[in-house]
Amino acid sequence: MFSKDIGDLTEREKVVRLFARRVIFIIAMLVVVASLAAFSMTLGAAKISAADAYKGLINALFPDAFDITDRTVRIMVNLRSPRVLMAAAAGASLAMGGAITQAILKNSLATPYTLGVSAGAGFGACLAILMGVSITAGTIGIITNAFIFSMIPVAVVIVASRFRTMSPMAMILCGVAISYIFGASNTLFQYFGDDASVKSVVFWTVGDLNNVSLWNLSYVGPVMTAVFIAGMLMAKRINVLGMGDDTAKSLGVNVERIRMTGLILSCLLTATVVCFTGTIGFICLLSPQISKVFVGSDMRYLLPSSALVGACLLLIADMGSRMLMSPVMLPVGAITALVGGPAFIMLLFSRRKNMTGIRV
Amino acid sequence: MSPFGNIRDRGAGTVEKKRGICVDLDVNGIHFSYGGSPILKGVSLKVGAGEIMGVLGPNGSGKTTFIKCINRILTPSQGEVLLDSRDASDISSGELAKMIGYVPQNASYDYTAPNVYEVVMMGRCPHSMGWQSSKADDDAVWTCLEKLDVDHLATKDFSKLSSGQSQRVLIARALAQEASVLLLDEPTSNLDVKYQLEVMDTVKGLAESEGNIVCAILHDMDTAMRYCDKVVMLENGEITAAGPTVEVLTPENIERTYGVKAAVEFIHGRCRVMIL
Repeated sequence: MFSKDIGDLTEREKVVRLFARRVIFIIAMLVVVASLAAFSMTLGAAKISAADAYKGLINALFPDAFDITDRTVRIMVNLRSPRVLMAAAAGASLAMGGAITQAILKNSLATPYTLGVSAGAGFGACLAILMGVSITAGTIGIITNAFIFSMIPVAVVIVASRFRTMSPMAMILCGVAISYIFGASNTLFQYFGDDASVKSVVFWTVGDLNNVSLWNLSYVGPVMTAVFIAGMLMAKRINVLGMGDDTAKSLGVNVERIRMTGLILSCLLTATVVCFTGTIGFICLLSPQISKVFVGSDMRYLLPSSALVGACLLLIADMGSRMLMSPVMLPVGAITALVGGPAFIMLLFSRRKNMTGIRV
Repeated sequence: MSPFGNIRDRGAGTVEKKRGICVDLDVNGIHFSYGGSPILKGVSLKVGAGEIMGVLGPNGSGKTTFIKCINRILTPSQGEVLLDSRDASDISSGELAKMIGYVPQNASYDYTAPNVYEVVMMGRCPHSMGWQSSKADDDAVWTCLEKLDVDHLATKDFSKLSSGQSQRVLIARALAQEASVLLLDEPTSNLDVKYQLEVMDTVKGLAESEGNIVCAILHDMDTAMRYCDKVVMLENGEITAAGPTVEVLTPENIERTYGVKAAVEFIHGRCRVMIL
């Protein structure tokens, strides 16, 4: 069928071809992500050859498989693999959060960040770092605080929607308002904080992958998998939401329940990542837009492809952050925003009319 | 007593039920209020299989609210909607979606536009909510696309269709639901004369061949005269006239409801409504 000219195809063949192209894009992205992750494992400040890097990884799984120094194995296990795996998982998670939020709120600018997840996490971390207010001490305290406060905006939306029906726009505005409140509080605390602590808060807010550990992935991985499965199961109903709430209701979809479930899942997933990495910007906004160009708006294809594009973007940004001023490691959150901003503008004003679904 | 008490059997019994579940739509005394102000004040109607019911009335008379109350997009404060004597409020939303198809006034999409095949596939949602569509769903979608003569548009962006094409696609989606009741909210608004006739011919054809019950909000009284078996006229949420089309669309009723003078003449083999 693929050898035929598009003009010779019947409509049924064109539909099959369209869906096949989407599947091929997803498989291709899977290969790209795996290749980028493998390549990223070979990069770092320590002078380790690519062959030794892979041998070190294999030795970590099967001790004494190769004649490699313990130092190499430790670097691969404790530094590079957590970083690379977290870059892929965090990129995929942030992108999925963005894709779900944009679809359920029917707004291409809506992301868990717009709903206040990042501002909440920033405020939680600020409380722990500057004021020492947290359930437990140290890094765990910061992570716990960030997670709890990042879920506050969505909790406010859930409580408010129990008293009155909230439109998608009202939900977004509610999140924006809460973001401002958290942002202002954060600024006030920093105003009175000591220099070292303020610097820590700023570093945390930018978002980076320097401090991630393998145990972080034991939280991010399961949440990411669960949200992916739930998202795929809800995909058809999320698609129908795009045609308007009335149409969705007439097709038997419980609009309020789907919207609220999607909101909770996307914010939970984003909060789980953000509490470990800080706020890494633009992935959640950009990945669904890029994916839409290749696979359209059907959530059954958009969700996996957004996840893979997100993983790909963060892996590239992470490599850039490590290599641009090596051996200095730049915060990856700054790289994603610096590269993501122009990329998004290019996409928005691209000559392929309406390719992102946003009217300009 | 319902205004249709003496006329409901005129068309209902004459069309054989070909598929689907519902052969009788019976709406009794529907009341609905928005924020305390009443929109519908005891509206009733009865429609049988194969009949087209036109819902007419000036802007703000409650036509769209009435249609939305029938398929429970809005919940009426009083009254009941019976589908083959079953109260719609006792039917789950999923099951109701298999019985009633809704074609909204505006073929709007709030997010990125899907293609025509995907839009019609959405009509299969009540039948398969899982993530994957089955071969049966695919066959049903193609059948509906072909029935509405939009199969050649399957891979086109829904946003790039003409108004007439998008109306036909939305009707195809409602058919993909396998619904026996079709609720159409101004299916001919924004369409030129050719597309108006095309869409209404399609609707008429479905009612005749498939036995669908059709409730259509219409603004053009001549279109109603041409296609509807029955008509209900609403004003300020109340029925001002109801019954067989030729009996309801009289110059007196039109003037009372719309405040305009009209004439009904028998020209070229059928009654025509002309606004004077």
